[in-house]
Amino acid sequence: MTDAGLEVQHLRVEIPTRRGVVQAVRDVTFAVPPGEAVALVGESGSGKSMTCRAIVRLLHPPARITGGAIRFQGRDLVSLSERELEHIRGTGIAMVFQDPMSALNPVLTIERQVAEALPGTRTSAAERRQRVVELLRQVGIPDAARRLRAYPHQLSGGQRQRVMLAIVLARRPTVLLADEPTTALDVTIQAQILKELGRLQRQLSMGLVLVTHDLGVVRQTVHRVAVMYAGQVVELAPTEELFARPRHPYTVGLIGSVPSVDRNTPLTPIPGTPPDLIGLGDGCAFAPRCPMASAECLQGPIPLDVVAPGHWSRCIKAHLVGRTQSAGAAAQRS
Amino acid sequence: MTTLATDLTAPRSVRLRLPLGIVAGGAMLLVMMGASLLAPVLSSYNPATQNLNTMLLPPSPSHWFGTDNYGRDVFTRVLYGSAIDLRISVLAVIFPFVFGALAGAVAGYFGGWADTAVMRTVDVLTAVPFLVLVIAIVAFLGPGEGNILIAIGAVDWIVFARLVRGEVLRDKNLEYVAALRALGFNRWRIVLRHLLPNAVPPAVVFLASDIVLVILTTSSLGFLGLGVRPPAPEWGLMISEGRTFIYTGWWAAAMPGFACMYAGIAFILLGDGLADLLRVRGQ
Amino acid sequence: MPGPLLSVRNLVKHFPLPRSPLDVLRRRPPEAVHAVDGVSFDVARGRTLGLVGESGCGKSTLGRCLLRLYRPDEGEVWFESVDLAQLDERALLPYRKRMQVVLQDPYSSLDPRQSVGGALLEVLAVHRIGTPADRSERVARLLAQVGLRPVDARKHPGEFSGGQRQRIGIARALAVGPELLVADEPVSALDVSIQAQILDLLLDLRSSLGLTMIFISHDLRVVRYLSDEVAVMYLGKIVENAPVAGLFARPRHPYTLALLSAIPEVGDSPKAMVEIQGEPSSAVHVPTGCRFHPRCPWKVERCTHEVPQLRELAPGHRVACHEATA
Repeated sequence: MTDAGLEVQHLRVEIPTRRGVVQAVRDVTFAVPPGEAVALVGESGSGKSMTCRAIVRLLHPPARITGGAIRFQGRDLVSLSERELEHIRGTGIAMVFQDPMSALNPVLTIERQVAEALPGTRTSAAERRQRVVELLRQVGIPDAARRLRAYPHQLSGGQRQRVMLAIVLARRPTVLLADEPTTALDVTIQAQILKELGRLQRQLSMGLVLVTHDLGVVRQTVHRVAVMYAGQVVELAPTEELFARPRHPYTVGLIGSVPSVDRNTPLTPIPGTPPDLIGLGDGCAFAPRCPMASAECLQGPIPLDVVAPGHWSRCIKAHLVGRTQSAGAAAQRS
Repeated sequence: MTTLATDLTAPRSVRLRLPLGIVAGGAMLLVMMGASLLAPVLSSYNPATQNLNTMLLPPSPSHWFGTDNYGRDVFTRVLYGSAIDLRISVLAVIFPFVFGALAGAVAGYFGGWADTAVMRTVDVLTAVPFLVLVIAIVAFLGPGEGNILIAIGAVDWIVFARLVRGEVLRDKNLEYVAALRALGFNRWRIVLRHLLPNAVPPAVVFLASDIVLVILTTSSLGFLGLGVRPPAPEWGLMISEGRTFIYTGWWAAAMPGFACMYAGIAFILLGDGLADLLRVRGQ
Repeated sequence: MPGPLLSVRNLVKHFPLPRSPLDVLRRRPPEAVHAVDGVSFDVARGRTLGLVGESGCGKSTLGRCLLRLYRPDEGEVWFESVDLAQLDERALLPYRKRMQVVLQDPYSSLDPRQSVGGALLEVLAVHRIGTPADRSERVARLLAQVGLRPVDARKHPGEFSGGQRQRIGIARALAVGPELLVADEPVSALDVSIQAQILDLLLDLRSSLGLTMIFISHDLRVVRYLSDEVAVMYLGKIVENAPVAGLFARPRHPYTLALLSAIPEVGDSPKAMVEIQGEPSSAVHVPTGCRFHPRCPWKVERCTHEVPQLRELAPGHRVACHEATA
């Protein structure tokens, strides 16, 4: 965890509503060392998208950051002014969104939009065009030179997402936040885009925060995974470690909920539904759905604790996870 | 097993907290209606009696709203007039609302000939300004309450048709429509019992403002001498007659004007409240 | 042995594109989206067919043609011994009770103004199932069957979560007692943990009610979990059709191989990566010959002009590819 990377510490985001205060992000902590890729995995309501928006300070009012720190290049982004943030957005931290159709301007050509993102004002039009073609080629758009005058609606979903990537990469950001960038795309296109993303990330030594709900995507693209539930990071570990030795019941449940193409084993769905984010107490938010829950789980707050080198879990019974749960699951199946 | 039956068929407990709009607008309307019904009680004056000795008297304890150029008590006339204006405006919108909503729903859902027939008619009627058309029809049929209702009915429905058609056009692509079709539901059942109720709330909200529009139209017609005939105390007529005396007796025209405003505000509040009320749990 | 419950032959559905008067004047030939272009398959009673493909392959259109939400342009849809393809609405009505649908979007698949109980009661009433007296009970049982409670009948859809709404949609489909259930991406819009719940629910219902199912999805993992047979679609045609074990053990069509290798897998499975480039061609101007040839790493000259037919390369395993071998 060096100064040059991105560090989020105990972030809190709240949204006051008529029904009460929604605690969208309750205690999120993770770090993105330079040049590394971290995934934020969670289902809807886990707070992963909110976290990203909070990092670039693009929350929709009345949502606001009510606690924690976001350290980037030695400064705490939470305390910066809008002017200072404008310098950081784009070149320091950039963001790609899920739906490329609404993220691109429908009335401007691709060339215009990518060129707009290029840094520097003293370059000639021809140079800028060259650079745009460069970038489009880099993100894998075939026949880039002929596509310059196309409009977003003339491109397919996958191509639009690549254009988004080109726009974002024009400024060579230090860290890229990608909020479900492939969720809206077909699986073959998704594979292509993820591959591009991985390649670009390594080539440019760019930090990457990949937000997704798909555990499979995570496995093949990132170094570390932060699993989120009800606004908190509940497990944080290197990718392989997470899948080999998950130490939080939610992670185990998540892994067990995804059917696999290879084995025809029964799924072990997590019963119940995610909690209401208004008026959540301090205890473990997952307890109502957890097969291992007991009275002590309801007493909080429960911190994120080290359970192995580089591996953190927010379960007080982390040491039992995996053993008791698979026994329970086996009992269910028989 | 009766418990199960009552579970399903018993209505949910009525929400006791009515939206503010309904309460405020409803209260204002009730006051107005009560006043119009109790007019003979509230005022001892006769709305039609002329008294040249009491012409254009300013508001005073004996004449709360003053008197007009014929010596008639303005307050009494406003009270009696409220019955006329309320009656006309509420009656006038019923046909446009019902017919317009049905026409719009059918046009939106079935498309094709139905849509063409309805929408081209709407287009033609839209080409001419509303008031001009109404005036033309009333001029043709002759003045009087009934003819006003006919004229407005013939023209006003197009707004509702457009509104509802728009909602239905959008909603018909929702998956539940496909699901109900797959269940073999008759298309009329789908459009009348499912799409229409969902499309109606915006039309109901508009209904409230439409009533206001009709009040103004009635008043305009009266102003032009084409509506209710004198000496009826219709607000528009009163404004028209009082217009010439605006410098010497502003109250003769202004008071009925305020009454129009009051009614307008009441209906708009009611419309807003209705919109809240019609919102189904969870929407 | 009784014949299949559902037998589809050469189903075609095109959506003509609107033409401007200018196009007519310039004698441009009319164009259409070739959504489904000659599809044939059988589904035996009690079995589940997984229909899989990416966006634009025509699987949803095919599903809707089967349910007669669209009228097929050509082809036959044999439900037992009756061809449903060209029946009129009245003749179709008794068959609508026997095949039902579960749709994708839990937020638009229910009428928001109707209570859940009301919606189910309406279905029973329209189809005259049971007597007015016992319908409430039937509704309660339907709700229990999908994991909801009788008190939920009084609520409106807006009061439920996405997963619960899907359960209600399933209850509604089951209300008429269908034999065939067409599920069009029923879990795609749900969170992973809820997906698993609904998938298991479908599994349970299938075995307890003896349902025949056509399960449409773009997610091969989910299709694997539920299906007995799988048909892979690409640009309006079936390119591979096989029992589930065989398809996943030994996929033979290049597109199937590409699909499988593109799946982001949670389990550790070293896969032969088949990378295909580019995007699917337009469904309006379909490629000549094999529709997959522009993206196929193994194409030969023949593929560009000769349309491959489905050939049986192993028992029950059919592939539409010139180069595929047994």
